[in-house]
Amino acid sequence: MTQLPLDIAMPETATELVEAAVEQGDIYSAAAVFGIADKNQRDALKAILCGRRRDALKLARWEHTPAQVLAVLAGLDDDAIRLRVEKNPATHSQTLADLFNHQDSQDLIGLVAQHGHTSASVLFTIVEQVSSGAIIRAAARNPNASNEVLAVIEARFGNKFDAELASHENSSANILKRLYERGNHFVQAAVAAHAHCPQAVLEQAVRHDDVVVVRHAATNPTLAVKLLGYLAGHPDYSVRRAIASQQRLSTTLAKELAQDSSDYVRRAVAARQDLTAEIIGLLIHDADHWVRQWVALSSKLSDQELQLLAEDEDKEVRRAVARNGKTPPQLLQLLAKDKQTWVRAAVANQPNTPPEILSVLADEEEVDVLAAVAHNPNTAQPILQRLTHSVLADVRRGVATNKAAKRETLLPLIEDPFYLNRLMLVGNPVLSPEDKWRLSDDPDPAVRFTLFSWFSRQYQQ
Amino acid sequence: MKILVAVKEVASLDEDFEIRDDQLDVDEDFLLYELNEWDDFSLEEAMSIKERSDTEVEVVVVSVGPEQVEESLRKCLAKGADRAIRVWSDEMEGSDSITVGRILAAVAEQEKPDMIFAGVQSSDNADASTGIALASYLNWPHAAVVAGLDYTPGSNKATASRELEGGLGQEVEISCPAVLTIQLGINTPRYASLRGIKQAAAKPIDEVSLSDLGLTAEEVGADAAFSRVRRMYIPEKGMATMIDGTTAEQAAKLAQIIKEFKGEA
Repeated sequence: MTQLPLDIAMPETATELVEAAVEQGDIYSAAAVFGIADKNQRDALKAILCGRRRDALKLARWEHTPAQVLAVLAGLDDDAIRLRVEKNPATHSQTLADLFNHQDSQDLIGLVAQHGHTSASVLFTIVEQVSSGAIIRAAARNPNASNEVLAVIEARFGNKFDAELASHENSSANILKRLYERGNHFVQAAVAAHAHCPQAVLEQAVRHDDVVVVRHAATNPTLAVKLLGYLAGHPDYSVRRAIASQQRLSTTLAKELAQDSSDYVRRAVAARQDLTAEIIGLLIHDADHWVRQWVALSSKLSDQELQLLAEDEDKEVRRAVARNGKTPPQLLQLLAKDKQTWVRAAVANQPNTPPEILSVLADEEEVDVLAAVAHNPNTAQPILQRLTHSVLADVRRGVATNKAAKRETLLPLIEDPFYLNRLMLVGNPVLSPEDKWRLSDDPDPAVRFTLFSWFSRQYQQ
Repeated sequence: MKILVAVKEVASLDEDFEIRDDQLDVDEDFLLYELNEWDDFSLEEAMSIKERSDTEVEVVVVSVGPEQVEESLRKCLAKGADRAIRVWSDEMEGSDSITVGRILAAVAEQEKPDMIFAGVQSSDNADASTGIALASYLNWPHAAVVAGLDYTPGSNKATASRELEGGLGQEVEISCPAVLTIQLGINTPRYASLRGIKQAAAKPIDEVSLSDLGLTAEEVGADAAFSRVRRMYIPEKGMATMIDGTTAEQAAKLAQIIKEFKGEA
């Protein structure tokens, strides 16, 4: 816990906010306002952020530290801090480029190679200059690696990284064609599934003698429509399952696959968003409960079909009905009395559940049900106010995140003992800035950071 | 009636850290500090007894350490402890768990509690001996790894359920006053209220020195310790086998490893 002054008046401007953070001397508040500070203020903030090595290490590691602060920390002459900055997922690409340009350590270069913000140009330099297999592999897996980067890898290292190249979304059709010609079955499978896979290669892949390759080809969204029919009759269920998930599948084929002998295939059909009434009719009585569960989520069900599934013997099917936005109130009322907690919780979570049903569920003791009631915007305010006094933090947090909770309902939660509940209030539009400013000296650093960040966004030019 | 709860502020590590130049400890800049998890359960047990009791029960927390440990003591105050004591003199630097037990025993002799709780162990050094050493110096009955407790303040007996290996439990009757080392899971520690935290920030913490306890420099510190750190190091780790290849290839290799492990391959 940090001993912070309790009497800082609510700032009205960006300047006052930064001055408040400087006066507090707290690294988290300082980090939050760094982005809106002017040059002089930034010098004062830097003294707080970097004044103690242990604070700099903490911030360099923390996943919420703003990129601009990480850039400052990266400039410190401290390898341990730079290591943490390089590992931090929030570090900006320019900071990573600067770090890369000023170091020789293979470990640190490896971190840059795998970082999600490293630019394609830095990756290009790395794969041109570095020979370490681990670093090249990291670069080959980096989503930011452009086709040019991948081409350099292929040119320098031959087939050593074929698996990574075949799986990379930026690999060009030319690279993929060469990979398919020389690769093992797994590489060929990855190529066949690739969005850039040339059609000529795809036509070979669907006729491959290895079912892994065929299955991967069957998932390719660019697969020609004529091949969908060809593969819908494949002897291997995993291929038919992949076809059943294809977006361009015709209703005729979908109906055919809805009667497939494999549960897995029928499940894939049941999960489709474009089910017709006829296909629903085929699947609603399926022996496999996963099929019925998917069907129960469909927006195309009639009230009678929802009723049938609401009385299903399997609790997951009944829960799916409770989650379905088309389920009418009378069925929700039935499900609110289900003996399974998860089914009742789904009713409590359902945005369409009327207040009178939520009122009954609010008398439960099960935390999953109560937390859902607390979060439901249809729950009456008196019930929400009662739930703010629950001994269960999850229930109280449900109220804190309730879009319909009124200010007088939320105010007691500003003193909630669980930090996350207080943190959730910072972004709530119902509370006034003055209400939120009461958290400015919160003992939890994440709350202070979130609050000062919120005020920063309000005052940002 | 008084329950004395011995607490420790422990150091925890992040994933990257450095060893000090003298190789005796981790560089302090890499350490994060928090209340020892076992002691949180100890305090909660004391607070539960206090709140259930018809008679007045004072819960006093004590910790041995420099000013930094006050953060953990204030956390205890925020959770409802009535008083906090910090014990420190520079001569205590380097004390091991047994020596700390001696220091705490001196505190107990002054405070005269009816029961003493300590955590089974600390999460940093894991010696699991401070509480028992404390009992030994006081010549008090003790029970270790207490996972359940039936105790009425003022009673001269308590029944403690102890957690043993292999999932076994043992119920012991112990004469009081006693020292109990408390196990994780005996209760559910409360969160400190925000009001409690803010009030605790202003509460006084009693500071007790070596001379206040009637101890000499020869009885504490590194020279009095029963053990000393020769070196601290990061052991060499074996490399895990990385499963490379495309996703399907990795899945196939993993399936093969599982089959071999199960003896099916």
